[in-house]
Amino acid sequence: MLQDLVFAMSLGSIYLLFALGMSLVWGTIGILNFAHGVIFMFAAFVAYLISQEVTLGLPLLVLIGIAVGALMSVGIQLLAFEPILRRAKDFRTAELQILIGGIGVATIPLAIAQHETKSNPFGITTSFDSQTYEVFGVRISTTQIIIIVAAVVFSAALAIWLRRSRHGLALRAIGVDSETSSLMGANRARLAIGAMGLSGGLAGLAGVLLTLNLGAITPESGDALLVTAFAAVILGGVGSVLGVVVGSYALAMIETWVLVNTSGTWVAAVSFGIIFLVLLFRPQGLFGHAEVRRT
Amino acid sequence: MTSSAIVSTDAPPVLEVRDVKVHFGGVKAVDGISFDITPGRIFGILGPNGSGKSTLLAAFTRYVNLTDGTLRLAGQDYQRIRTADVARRGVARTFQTVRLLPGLTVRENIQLGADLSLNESARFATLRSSLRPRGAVSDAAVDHAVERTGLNGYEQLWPCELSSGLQRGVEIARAIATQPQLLLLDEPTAGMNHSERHEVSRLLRDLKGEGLTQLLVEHDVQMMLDTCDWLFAMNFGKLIAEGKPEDVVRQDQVRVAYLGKRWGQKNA
Amino acid sequence: MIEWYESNLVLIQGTIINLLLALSLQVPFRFGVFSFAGIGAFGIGGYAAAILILEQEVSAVVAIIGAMVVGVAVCWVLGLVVARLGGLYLGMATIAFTLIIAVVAINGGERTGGVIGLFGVLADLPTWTILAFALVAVAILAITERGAIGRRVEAVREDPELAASIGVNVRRYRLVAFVASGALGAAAGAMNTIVRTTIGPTDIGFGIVVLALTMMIIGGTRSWLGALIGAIIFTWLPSILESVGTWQHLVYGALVALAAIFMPGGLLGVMTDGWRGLQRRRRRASRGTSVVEDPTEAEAAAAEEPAAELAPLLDAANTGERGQS
Repeated sequence: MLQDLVFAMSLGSIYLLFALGMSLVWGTIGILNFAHGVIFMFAAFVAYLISQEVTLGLPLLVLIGIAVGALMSVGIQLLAFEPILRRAKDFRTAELQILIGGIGVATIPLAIAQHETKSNPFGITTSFDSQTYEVFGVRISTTQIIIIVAAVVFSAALAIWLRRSRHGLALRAIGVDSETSSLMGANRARLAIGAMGLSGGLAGLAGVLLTLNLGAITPESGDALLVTAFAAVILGGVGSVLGVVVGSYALAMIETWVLVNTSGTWVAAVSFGIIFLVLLFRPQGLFGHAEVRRT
Repeated sequence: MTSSAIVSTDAPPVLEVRDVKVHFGGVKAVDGISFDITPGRIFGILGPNGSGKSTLLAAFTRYVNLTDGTLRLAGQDYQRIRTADVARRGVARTFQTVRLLPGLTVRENIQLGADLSLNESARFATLRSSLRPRGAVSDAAVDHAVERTGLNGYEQLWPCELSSGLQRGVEIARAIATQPQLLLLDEPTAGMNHSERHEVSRLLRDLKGEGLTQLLVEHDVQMMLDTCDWLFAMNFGKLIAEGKPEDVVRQDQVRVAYLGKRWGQKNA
Repeated sequence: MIEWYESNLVLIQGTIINLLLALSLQVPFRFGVFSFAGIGAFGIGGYAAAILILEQEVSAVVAIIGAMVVGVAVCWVLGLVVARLGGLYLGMATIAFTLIIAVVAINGGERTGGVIGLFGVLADLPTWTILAFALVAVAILAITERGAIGRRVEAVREDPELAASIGVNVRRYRLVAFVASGALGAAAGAMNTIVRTTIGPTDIGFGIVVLALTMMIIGGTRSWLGALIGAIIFTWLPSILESVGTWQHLVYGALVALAAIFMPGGLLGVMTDGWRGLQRRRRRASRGTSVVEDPTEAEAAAAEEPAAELAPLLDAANTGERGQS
């Protein structure tokens, strides 16, 4: 039972690292980045390619993951999403085009990775040696500890940054009212690049850490994670850091429960069920605010 | 009886508004409004931005739900009907910002309004109209609306080719084409120059001549003075004055609401 | 001709099936419903037809119709359930619905063949039958693009509030879009299974979403003609460009992304826009002057507005004063 909890915690932490960035850009600059999953996968894939050549320690691998994720995310923002935003006649149209464009963009790195690996799982070789400790009969590895700590530290840092820093405040202001905040001096385009970079970096970090934890992932694993993260974000409430934290861990607990109590193939259905239940009964999520609209 | 009875004829009111409240959370956008709209006249609602005028119109078209109060259309309670059925009960509206469909020609945009009557006339008329060859459609209601708004010659153009004044005209024409009992106009002259406003004012009075009851929301005072028979002044979701237009604009509280305390009082 | 037809039979059938698949995505888009449920119906229809043929030994036409009934029923219920949602939420919810079909299929035990899927779905399906289904579908859709229905669909997509204000029941139109996408997707899925004699969970994954999206976005979202253009291009392109082969997905994805950025109306949209631009230019030339008034004039009118609209109020105030004194 306690062992399952450790599993759920590390699973939830991966969801959290992944979903944090997704929620950040969706809640502030209104972009639902469908390529987020493939950024996660491709960062791990690049780390895998490099690890084929030289054996690196954990810190460097993590840095590579973050860098690749951030670069991809910023690249997609500059080359695809920003042009769409500039050209679309209204935001509603832009939103949909961005989702479609994201689906298109996402197939490119996926196809590259699938071609190189022949769709087989790939793992990262590293000089980092993950130990397994046993505390009160519960086994936990160094990687799992790192994942959990990273998730907690990064969400806390993000929450504080969004509340305290000038850029964080400007980002949140854009999320509430983009027009007014740009009139008041927030540079939407530059902040958007920053947010996307941050979001991609988190996805890259999650990719490398999960690959190290599981030993190997498949190129397609980003797709499934995308739906899961969407469920976590929806459950917690778009744009709320606390919401993503609660959503990610809650989802991981439910999935672990299903995994333990059924044959396991139904796990993928959990996110789907959550998405529907939340959208039907509490569309703003657990920690989101109902929109107040005045005409 | 409310004081609108002064202008009422023997005919029953088209729209009865009784103690209508619309609150969004803590925001009291409309907070206890009562009046009657009697047939064959032009009524105006005057008020600064954010005074609740547009929310009131949204309540009349069932786009927002009433927090409290009653609305009766031609004597019938009309709170339960769906937004889409409001038009079928004879209430048409125009929007504050021009809302024309960019992919349809001017005539097709106006036809959208006339399509409403298809529901009544024949069950398969809608389908029949889709089976007819393109361009062969002639519709009396559309022709009438085009002529009334002076859009002859513009019918085959795309909305983006028209000036903003003419686009407003199409908006009104579309509403007229539904052959309404009551026409709600949300700032129909916003962004227009003087001569265009004059045109619109004349058009509305002509329509009144044909017996069309209208409720006009505006903040152009001259337009209201020229056009309306009866004026309501609103601020903070409440009625602050009503009466003949020239009387209402003279009242202190209206001037204070509109011009701010200093201006309003200095002139008082 | 006959020789060409026989040697390309698979591609011809594939084109028609892909047309129906693209339409199942395009119809809700045209109605302003951002729903991928039609692709889910493709999977449902594919399995329904396979099960009907394997267990009940029905004919191909009966299997297709049966699959459509199932697809319509599921999408109708889904449409009712997600009626309140819009935009991205609806898009993601229906993507999740589509992806879950494969999960259900994997867990379906013997009936769905689990991870492996179903084989030997043998039924006689002549090309003219596929064509007949497609013709009926296109005819019905063509009607919804014209006249009063066409105008209303346009209004429901572009401006639901406006549509409601002129008496259009927006919810009903949206539900119709869901049901239609269910019928089209299920028909395409059933035909695909029968033509290929097999279906498995990997056939209804994310790849099919991308394919349908590619056909619709490149062809055009506004008319069935756009879906046809897309279906023809993306059924024949892989066989013409042999070299594309393993990079097919990459090419499709890149095309979708480029189209979403630079040509959101698709090829058909580019053509219609070009035609309308030409019409406009010709009109302007024949009139000699532009219909559009000088925009600076309108701006000037707007600029003078605040002062102008308050003037009578001040006047009235002054006359009031005079009257009192």
